[in-house]
Amino acid sequence: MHLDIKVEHEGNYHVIALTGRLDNLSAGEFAAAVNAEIDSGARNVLIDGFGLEYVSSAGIAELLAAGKRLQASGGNLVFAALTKPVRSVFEIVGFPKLFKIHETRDAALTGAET
Amino acid sequence: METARQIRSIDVRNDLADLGRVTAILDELWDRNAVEPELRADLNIAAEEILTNVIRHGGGGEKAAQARIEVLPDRVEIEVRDHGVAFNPLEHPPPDTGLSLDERRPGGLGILLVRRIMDHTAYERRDGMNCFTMVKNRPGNAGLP
Repeated sequence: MHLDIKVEHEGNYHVIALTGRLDNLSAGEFAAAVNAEIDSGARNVLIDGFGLEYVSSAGIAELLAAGKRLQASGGNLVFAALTKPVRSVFEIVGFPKLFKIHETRDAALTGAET
Repeated sequence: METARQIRSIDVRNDLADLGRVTAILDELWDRNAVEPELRADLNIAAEEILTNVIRHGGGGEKAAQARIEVLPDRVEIEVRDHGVAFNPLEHPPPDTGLSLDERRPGGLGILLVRRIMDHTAYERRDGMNCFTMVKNRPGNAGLP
């Protein structure tokens, strides 16, 4: 499997845990999953990147689109547990200025500052 | 016996779906040559970004490009050649990554990623082809001839 997408509801968050690669091949599948959550009323979405190997610009474009949709509806997109390659791509594209990035999923869910 | 120099050529079809096959070939090449795990994400991303651009913006025809990957003891080189109209991605202005979420528009980040994650990038128009070369140094061996 190229990208595993697991959706859970925890507290105020719809948690989307990603395992594998968020690239040109899987970006559409990810977009469908996150849009389904937003359509079903999700306002706060947490992307758990613990198992995410890497993300390319195709994945970044979908994350940006999801962030915009959530912000437009008064919601939020946050991230947790990013791997080193993902963190480094996030820094290049300026994501730390746009989104809250937590060290762990628990820190994100409990609202602990990072 | 393992040789110090490994070269692999891949003909890439004019179809984004072909990138899955290309990525599988790259993964196998990295495995076979014991390319450091911390380099593989960068190499795969860079190859995907350049090939995606060529497939999206290149000319028609069934074959979009030829990728040539060379694994050397001190570095990995990837060259992508295509017959599309002359286009130097390095001259393309990068998007402003300092904008707010409202102001951000999708697109343009692929080349920025390639420039930042690879150690060297170069473009050349040669024999009617776009030739884009990128190099990633392997740790511990950088600077060897």
